[in-house]
Amino acid sequence: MEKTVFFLLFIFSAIAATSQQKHTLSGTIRSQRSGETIIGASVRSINGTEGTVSNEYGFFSLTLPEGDYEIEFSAISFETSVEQIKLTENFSKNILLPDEVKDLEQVTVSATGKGRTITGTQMGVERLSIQEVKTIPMLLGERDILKAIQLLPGIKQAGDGNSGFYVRGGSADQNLILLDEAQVYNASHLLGFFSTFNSDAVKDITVYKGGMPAQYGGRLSSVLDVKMNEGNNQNFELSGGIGLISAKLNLEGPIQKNKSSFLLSGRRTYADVFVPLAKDTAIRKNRLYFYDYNAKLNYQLGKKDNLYISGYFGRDYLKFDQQFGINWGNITGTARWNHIFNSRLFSNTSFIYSDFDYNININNPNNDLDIYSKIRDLNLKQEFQWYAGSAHSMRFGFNSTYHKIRPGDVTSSGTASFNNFYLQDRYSWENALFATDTWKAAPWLNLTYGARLTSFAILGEGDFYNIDSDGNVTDTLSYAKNRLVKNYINIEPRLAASFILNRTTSVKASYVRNVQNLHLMSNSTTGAPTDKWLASTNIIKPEIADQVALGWYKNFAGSRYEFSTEAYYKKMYNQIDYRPGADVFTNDAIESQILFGIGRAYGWEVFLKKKTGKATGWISYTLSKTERKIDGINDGAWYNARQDRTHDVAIVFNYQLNRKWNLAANWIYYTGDAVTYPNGKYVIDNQLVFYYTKRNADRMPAYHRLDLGATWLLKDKKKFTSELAFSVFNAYGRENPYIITFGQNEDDPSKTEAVQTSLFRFVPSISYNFKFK
Amino acid sequence: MRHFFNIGLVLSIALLAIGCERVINVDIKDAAPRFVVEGILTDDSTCRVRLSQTSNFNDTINLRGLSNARVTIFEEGGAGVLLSETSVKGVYRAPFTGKPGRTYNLRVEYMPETANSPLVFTSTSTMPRKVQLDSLFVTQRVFLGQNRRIATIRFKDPAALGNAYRFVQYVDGEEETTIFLAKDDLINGRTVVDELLIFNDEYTLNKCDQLRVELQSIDKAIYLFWYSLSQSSLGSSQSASPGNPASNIKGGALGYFSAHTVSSLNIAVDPDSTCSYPVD
Repeated sequence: MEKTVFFLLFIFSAIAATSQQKHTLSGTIRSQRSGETIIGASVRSINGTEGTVSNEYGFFSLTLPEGDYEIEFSAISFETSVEQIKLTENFSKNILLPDEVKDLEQVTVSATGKGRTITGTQMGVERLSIQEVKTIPMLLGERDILKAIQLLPGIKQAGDGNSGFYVRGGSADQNLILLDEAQVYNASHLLGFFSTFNSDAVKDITVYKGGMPAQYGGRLSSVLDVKMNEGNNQNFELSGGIGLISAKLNLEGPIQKNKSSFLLSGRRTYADVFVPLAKDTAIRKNRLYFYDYNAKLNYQLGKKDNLYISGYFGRDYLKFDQQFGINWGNITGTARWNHIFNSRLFSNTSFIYSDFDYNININNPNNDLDIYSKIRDLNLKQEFQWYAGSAHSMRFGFNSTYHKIRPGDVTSSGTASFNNFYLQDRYSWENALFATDTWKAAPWLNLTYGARLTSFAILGEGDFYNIDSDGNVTDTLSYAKNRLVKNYINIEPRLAASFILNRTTSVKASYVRNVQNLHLMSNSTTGAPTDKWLASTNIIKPEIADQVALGWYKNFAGSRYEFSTEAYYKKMYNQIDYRPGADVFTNDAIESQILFGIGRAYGWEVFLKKKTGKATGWISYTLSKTERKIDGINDGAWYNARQDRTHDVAIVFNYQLNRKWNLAANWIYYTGDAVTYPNGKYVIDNQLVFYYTKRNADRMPAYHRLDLGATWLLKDKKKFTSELAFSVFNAYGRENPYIITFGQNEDDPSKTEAVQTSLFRFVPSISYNFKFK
Repeated sequence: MRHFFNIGLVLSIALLAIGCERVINVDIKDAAPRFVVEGILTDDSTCRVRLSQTSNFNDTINLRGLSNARVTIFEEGGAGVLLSETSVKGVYRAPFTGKPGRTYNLRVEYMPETANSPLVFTSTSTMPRKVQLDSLFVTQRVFLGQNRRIATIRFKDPAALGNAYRFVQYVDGEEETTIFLAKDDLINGRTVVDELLIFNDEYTLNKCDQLRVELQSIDKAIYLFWYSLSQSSLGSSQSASPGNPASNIKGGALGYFSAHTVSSLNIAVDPDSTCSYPVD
């Protein structure tokens, strides 16, 4: 370990030594209107080729030879600004970009700087601006960033109207979902139909499908990095919206102008508000709602330090028949301190708290029962960004997370039929060291190379088990508190290269390894809040995925259009599935209920986007294959993963008709999910039972639908704006199968039939949004 | 009592309430028939084995019984019996009664027309100690949004851990096919009151119904059979991974062999003078 540190120091000092004739321009880029830092703004010398982009805190550092420069600062939704700079020494300048003026004659919906870049090494990345998300028509008019990203290549929706998603053949739990760096363990509300993210509070969304930068780790298939707004430090703003199912309110403003600001954002669904109006008393007592709050504070402590404190709190409540209730939710908190050591060295220290829990409560005339489960993380993260010279920029740091999982406590009152029952709490300590360098090796070649070294220490106290191949416990091993049970150490290389063919064309390649030590066990097709998170144990090994990808990128028609295509191959190890008839509810030796295997996924993605003009939008297409091979399932042969879909198409279209009206449409088509249909039938104890042979060898009917939307700007004054948004989800009423069940015909039991249930057809919505500023 | 907190079921019922259903044609691939053995030995003189074969999805016959099998049940270290075929094709019976605590071996030999040597299916099951059904009554309450009558049982789980149960509900002599199961990991040693909840929006017991509930004490392998059957073999796609139930039959057949005890009670549901019952 020490050797590695010395080696890195040696490289860093060697790089620094070669760049002494140069000076550094650095600073923070902010919105002039709100004072919010701007992520991913482009900083570039107009007369040269040198350039950089601002980091996730708006900081940039550009090292250039001594001289006079015209530096252009640009970002999506902002006016471009050009500064004359005489660079004779290191120079620090904070940049304020004014909001883009929307001129109907030359509507510029998007600008350069965001999204895929031609020269950068990062591939497999998708960015969406909140502007883009806002116009996409959605189920019940509820804007949702997780549903918006499903329209991008390689990212697939988990089900009709569902906010869950699959990336490049990974399962839903293999996505690392971060909100201001805090992991969100269950990113959905209302059984997956809405995501936990209130789009009003969100500033930036980035999804990595491959080539994950080394600072991210812990999940196999993707990273979804969501950044919250910081709050306007210039003026107070009150905005809100009323839709068919929810109402939202957002308040932000300066605490001390230019120095500090706050943001408070809340959302609540109110379907339950109407429930008491129901005639049926039984229905009247049902509950079904969620709420979430986002809050953020930020302080600029002098020129070199920034402090951010942000939090999320969301909860779902469901209650039926006054007897069956469940509630669940996430709590996250992040405290971050940015420090600018000098024009080239930027540091961020984060302390992160993350918590997900659920509580089931049953109370009927004969029994009562309470089930509680929780997963909690405490996480310290330190990251340095060192802009070492004009050719190198580096990121390095560490991450240390303590996980506590409480798999389930079952309690009931003394009179009930149940004993109290507690599954063992599980403890683990996850550490990572990461370092990566982006090297402009030649005008035509950029390289990123780095690695992430992770250690996952499973700690006592608790019993761990040895099991035989049939899943029987052969030995119980007891560990005292904080005793090490097992430590898994893995090195995850992260390599990427871009070959710049000309100003508008490049080819990129990458290799990345990811390791996952927390596994979600799900028994249902839709995913439920009660799905079980498991940490690796002496028997459950870390999941590992290796992914290689190759891509070709092209901007044309003066960068109005952007085209890209990527192919990937991914191999996954130590994949987990339930044994048939697994019972995980009361089983401490969870290993006795699961099976292990491998997976593979490969595919080809094509993306064409029109970025500017009255009409904007994109077409995305994915051709892919995803398979699993698990000992004990499908006779140990390869089988399709449920999310294996051969074709997946999304067309997203937006048209700014005039100043008042914006029209939008999207169309989605994908091959039906791989499912298992019966191959025969028989009778057991007078009941019809189905006979199955191969796993997931059949297909649901293809899924497709068209959504339409329109936004009508009612008022657009200096102090107040308001709009009405209309949408129709599944506008031509396609009956997309949500599930297919098999059974006997009710009238003629000798007939066996398949019944399809479909959920959403012709779902209209209207919502009203406003903003006082 | 798994169904008691089956969140998945409750949620999917809530969801399906808003969905629309339609019978569709799906492309079913027929598979070569497979043998099915269903063997039952109880402490109240039921000794019955059914040998059958799977049929194709679109066949109008669900049950294809097979004749001319040689079926024997032997008590380990004790006596055995040869079961003889009854008038129902594929059903074999013998006057034989199992005893709690004893282990029984089933052997089924069958000679298919096209084969040279007989197929042999074997299985072993141990009859657990007997647990009595203490009482049976009807609870009236709101369930799935409606006021319903629900069969409710009370029994005392023995102090030792490892008991498993299956309950079968009969109404006017007809079996209700819902699979009710319990094992004692949460209820060990307690006096248990369990409602037999039927997750069917249309189902309720009615006044005057003649209700019978049978409590079967089953062994662990049989619990797993019924549990996996109810989870993944009944055609509902709530389960992410449909499959065949975990069988305790060796030799490649589907099905089970269960030696279990039986304790049952009968009541009339909320009887009054308006009810009329046939005289035996």
